[in-house]
Amino acid sequence: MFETQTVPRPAKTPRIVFCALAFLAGLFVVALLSSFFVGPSDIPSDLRARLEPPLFFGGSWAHPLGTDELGRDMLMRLLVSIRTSLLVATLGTLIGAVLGTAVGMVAASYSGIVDDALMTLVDVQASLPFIIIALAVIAFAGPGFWLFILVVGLYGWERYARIARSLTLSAQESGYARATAHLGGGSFRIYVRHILPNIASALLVALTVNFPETMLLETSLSFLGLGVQPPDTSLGTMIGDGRTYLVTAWWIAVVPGVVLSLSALSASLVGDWCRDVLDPVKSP
Amino acid sequence: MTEPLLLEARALSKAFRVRSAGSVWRRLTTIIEDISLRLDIGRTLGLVGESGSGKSTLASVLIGDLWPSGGEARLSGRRPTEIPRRQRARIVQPIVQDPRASLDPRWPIGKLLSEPLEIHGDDIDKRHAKIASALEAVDLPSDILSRFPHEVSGGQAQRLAIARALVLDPQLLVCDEPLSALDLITQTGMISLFQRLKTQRRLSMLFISHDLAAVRELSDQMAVMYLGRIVEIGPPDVIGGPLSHPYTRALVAAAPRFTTGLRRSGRAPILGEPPSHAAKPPGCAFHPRCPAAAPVCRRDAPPTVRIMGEHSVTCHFAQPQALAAE
Ligand SMILES: Nc1ncnc2c1ncn2[C@@H]1O[C@H](COP(=O)(O)OP(=O)(O)OP(=O)(O)O)[C@@H](O)[C@H]1O
Ligand code: SF4
Ligand SMILES: [Mg+2]
Repeated sequence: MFETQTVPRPAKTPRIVFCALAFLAGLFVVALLSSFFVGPSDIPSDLRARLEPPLFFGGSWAHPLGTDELGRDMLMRLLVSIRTSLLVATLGTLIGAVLGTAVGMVAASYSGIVDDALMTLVDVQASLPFIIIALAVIAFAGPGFWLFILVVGLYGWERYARIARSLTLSAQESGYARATAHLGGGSFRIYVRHILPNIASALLVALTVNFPETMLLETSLSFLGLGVQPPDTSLGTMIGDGRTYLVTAWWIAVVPGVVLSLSALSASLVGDWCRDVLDPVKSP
Repeated sequence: MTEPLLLEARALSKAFRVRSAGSVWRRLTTIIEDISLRLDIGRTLGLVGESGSGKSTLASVLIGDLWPSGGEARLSGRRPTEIPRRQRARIVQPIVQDPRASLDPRWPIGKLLSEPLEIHGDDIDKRHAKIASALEAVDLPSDILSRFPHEVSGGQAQRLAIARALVLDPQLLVCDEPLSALDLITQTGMISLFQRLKTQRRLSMLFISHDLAAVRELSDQMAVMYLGRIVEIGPPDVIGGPLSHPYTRALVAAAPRFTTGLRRSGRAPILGEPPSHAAKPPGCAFHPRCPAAAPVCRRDAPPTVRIMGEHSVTCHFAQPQALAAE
């Protein structure tokens, strides 16, 4: 009769989230530390040791993860790629979050025509396939690292804008926002110092959900040759390079592929956990 | 040159576009109408009336949160909506029903109390003195400064909200049901706090409450609202008496605490729910519920009759006392 669980389960962090967090943290540490030792142009290519398999698959300690078609050490490439991919995904996520939040809050604070215009923009963005826009922009402007980050950053901004707008709309009716206005406080104080901190947790949840998607977007574009350009390398470019050798030298694509999947999975797990912890109203 | 009145309303009205039940269109509905009142420095005006009669709307128009649709409001001689926000904050501060909601949950109380002074550019050393004096005025210990809003009681939160208004040294507090969220004992303490603020700081107040006894205790003048109009205004000791408006008498009869020391003028329970603003009865809006209603009440809007001195009643059967004495 009373089998439905009414008492909330005590919040216990699942072990898998710990693993995911540890994996992500490890990834960031590796990316940071490795940047002191190797850069994209420091990887020597040894044409006599091309397409060597990884250790345990017939390879040697000289190249634990094997080598690619130009005889470059896969481990070194992987380190550089992780760093690039994380940099793009992190900056991209932050750009989207900041831009979207700003748009959403501005739309909410100016009702009327500004709100309508901005929200139309949001709807347009949401109704267009992002990857095609990204392809068009990069094809038109030519590939470049910072442009690429900017394009990746635009991914998902409309989601932050929607969340920020609706949260701001209700927060500006709240007692504390009104009280601040009655005390003579200006818009900056009301929106940035009072409303923003109060809606930040929901935005943070959106951010953690967005991160793995941004990471995958970076890889997709790089895979298509429109993202990170040689000599720099990212997980996406590595997978792209490996595509032609999938049958003869699977590791070129599989090694970065595994790292990518694990990172995206970990980021998703951490994101879901953040949502459970930070979001009082659980969205399905 | 005489100093302008602190607060004045002349034929003030406010209409909203309201969607009535079952309709797609929003119709312009007058919520408050033809409101005239005056408030001097150091005086308190009590405002009572049923829920939905438009008390909060009137307060919002008076403090400049809403533009009036007709008539005029004046705050220190100027239209409230035209006074720059910061200047207005130094003249009038609202006190609301839900004080905790008016305190940002993420800010410690010390920071919340110095925020108004920060906004108004007071230097740090002056801030401490003003905060200390405001805390003393509302009877709060200074160790509360390090706490967060969720760590204080409802009564303390209301005192904090008042202290936060007091640091700006306003001339007028507009209190919209400041007692409703508090328990009885806390209410009593709060009433004497308002009493003290009145005498010690010469604060003026517009005091809105459902608690007639409290309003009577605090007010120099009382106004009674029914369906967007002031139907009676006068000193508290005549409100609810035999010369009072039928609606007021019914309100008083329904409020047992109020009648102590006042001659009860017969029990007249109000019948049924108040009509909606969108479908106001013609003539006197109170006639469907009025025990004294006559045919004229259904036809003509009643005049506002000056009973005596400051006491006016809007009713066809109101009797000016000077005439009655003849
Ligand atoms: N912004 C608005 N838009 C439309 N209608 C409104 C608005 N504000 C108030 N009203 C309507 O005006 C009427 C009076 O509301 P108001 O809040 O002024 O009443 P009140 O006397 O303060 O009641 P209470 O004692 O319950 O606080 C209500 O019917 C309400 O629906
Ligand atoms: S005018 Fe008529 S209906 Fe209105 S209050 Fe007076 S007696 Fe009642
Ligand atoms: Mg109200």
